[in-house]
Amino acid sequence: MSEHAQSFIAHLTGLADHDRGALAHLRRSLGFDPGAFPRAYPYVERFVGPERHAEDPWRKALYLGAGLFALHPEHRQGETLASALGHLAHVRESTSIERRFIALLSAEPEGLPDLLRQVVSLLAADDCAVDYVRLLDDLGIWLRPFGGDGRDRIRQRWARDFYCAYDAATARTESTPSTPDPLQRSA
Amino acid sequence: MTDQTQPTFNLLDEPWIPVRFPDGEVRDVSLTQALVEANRISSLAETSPPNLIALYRVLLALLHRALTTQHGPWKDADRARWYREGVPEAPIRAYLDQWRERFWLFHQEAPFMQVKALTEAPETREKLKPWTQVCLAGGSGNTPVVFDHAMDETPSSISAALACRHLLGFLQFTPGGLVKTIRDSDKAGPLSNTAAVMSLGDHLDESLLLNLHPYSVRVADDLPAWEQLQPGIAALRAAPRLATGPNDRYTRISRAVLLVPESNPRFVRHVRFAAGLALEEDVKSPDPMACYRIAKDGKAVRMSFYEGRAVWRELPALVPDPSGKFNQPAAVLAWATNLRNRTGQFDAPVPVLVAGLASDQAKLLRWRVERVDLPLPLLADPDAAAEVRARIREGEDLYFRLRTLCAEMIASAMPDPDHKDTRARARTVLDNGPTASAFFSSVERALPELMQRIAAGDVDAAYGHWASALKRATQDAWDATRGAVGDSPAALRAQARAIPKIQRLLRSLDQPETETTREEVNS
Repeated sequence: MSEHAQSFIAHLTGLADHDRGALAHLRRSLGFDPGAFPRAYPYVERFVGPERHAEDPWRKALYLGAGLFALHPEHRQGETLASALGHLAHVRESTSIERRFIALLSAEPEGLPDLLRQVVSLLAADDCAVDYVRLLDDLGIWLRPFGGDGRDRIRQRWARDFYCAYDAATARTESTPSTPDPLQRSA
Repeated sequence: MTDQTQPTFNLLDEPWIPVRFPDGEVRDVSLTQALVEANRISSLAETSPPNLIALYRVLLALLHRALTTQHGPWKDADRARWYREGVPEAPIRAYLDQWRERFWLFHQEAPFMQVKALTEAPETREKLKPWTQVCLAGGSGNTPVVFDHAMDETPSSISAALACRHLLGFLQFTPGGLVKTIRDSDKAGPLSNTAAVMSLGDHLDESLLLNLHPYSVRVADDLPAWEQLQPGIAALRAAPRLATGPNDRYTRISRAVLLVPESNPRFVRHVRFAAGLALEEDVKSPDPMACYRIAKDGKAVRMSFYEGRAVWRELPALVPDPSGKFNQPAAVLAWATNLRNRTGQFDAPVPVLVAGLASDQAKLLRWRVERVDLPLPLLADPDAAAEVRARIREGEDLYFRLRTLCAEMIASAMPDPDHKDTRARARTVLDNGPTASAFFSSVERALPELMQRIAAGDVDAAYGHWASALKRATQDAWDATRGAVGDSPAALRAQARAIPKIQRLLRSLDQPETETTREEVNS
């Protein structure tokens, strides 16, 4: 979990407490490609760093993460997006949420923002908090144009988190989503 | 080709047995040299596994008869003395001189390990077959060809030395089946579908003495083929006979063959062929080089080579089992262990050669040679053997459970996962995939240390070492399976759902000696 992501989420949490207008701008930015909505620049760009170019995956992840946070500013450490979604699907006994999640897993970087916005809206409706720091770190890898191994590892982890929470039978196992996975070795 | 009148190619003088010397040189020697100079030869260097075992068996029968006829009764103490001081040369030379006339490969009366009557018999007089008929690796008749494109009508010619080695391998390992000459079908050779085992010494004389069958009054009339009467056609038609003992088994003429020399009698192109002296098998007198596994119905199943299955997984069949409930190791291993104990070799690992040919009815499947180094206590101490057996069975059971979970995972990554055809297809995908090889190759790396620790009596350390090896193997096999299934969303979902079960399986390894039932794993 990167400190950079942590300080960024801390900054967004501060905005949520003191600057509702900023959140509105960030929410609007979800209608554009990540990093293509100038009104969001003042709140995000300083975290990007001068050495990164406009298409840098980390820059995109920051803008996308900021937009999602603004949509549902409830951060809770340890509850990954996938496990929050799994719990929600389990509580609602809904297969459509599982289908949405499957669509999310097969998403390419270009299609990811829209799907994530829908998913976060779902979580917001039920007031489920999400660990935005983890989400940001994962997005930084997922949005790489040729994600390869890194993206596959993240997709596998998301799938595990989701089904651990979703399958009532397996929810009793002590594998918690935030522990490093003993069954996942990096390639 | 000729039916010669002069005897030619005496196996006692002609070089025909490939051997390896300590300096690495490989060359052919005669039977006499192989026996008399055995202390200067490292091992036989024959490359075809059936021929290799057959050659060892001929040498063992020769040595046994030479010592028995020239020396009279002998005991293990004598064997240990010969092992320390060298095999005496005089009895061997005397015996070979006595039977010299029976070692001509081409002879008008009694060719070595062949049936002369085939020249006259109406069924075979006009019928020549290509030499590939007696070569287990050769294609002839209607066998499908892959690499061997020999034509039966225009066979190539091979050296008499090679033809003789092929003949010996063939007689020992031929599967039973149709012959259609003299008799419709014939019994199998003594080692058909068998992975034969032998203990190896540093030199050929040690290897021969280690595996030498003991002298016994009962088997004084146990004669090898060259001391028996030349079989006539009536003998070929006769009912199957039990082997009189190891000498008979090691040299049984299980098919009647007559090599037909070319005009240059050092080459062979054709053979005459018919049913042989059928061997009746008796469960009470198993082959000394065959290991048996006792199946669930109480029947003894011979150890053979199975596809993709390394020999070490059959180790329980090599080590002694006093209860007789699980397996019956080859008698030669017990003879070798006795000799090693007598000569005070307690610490050196025991190299065991496993070689042979697997067949399915009359279809030959694969041949293989492997070598396993076993610590002596495993062969001498039933408790250590039982410990190894338990550990290996543990590994097999774990794989069985892992396989069930992986097959379930593969099925749930496919459309319609609950259909029984999907489950069957998933099992096929799994068996053709990397799971088993990843698991067992990983476990195999831990095997030598496991055996060393058990041999040293450190059972607790052995157990811990083995459990961590099994965990690593499970992990490796799971990774390999996951990689093979791919990363489609359906596969990711299937993997995510299987992981808690795999974790439970891994945790079950931390609870020593508890029986985790399959229901528990599959719950």
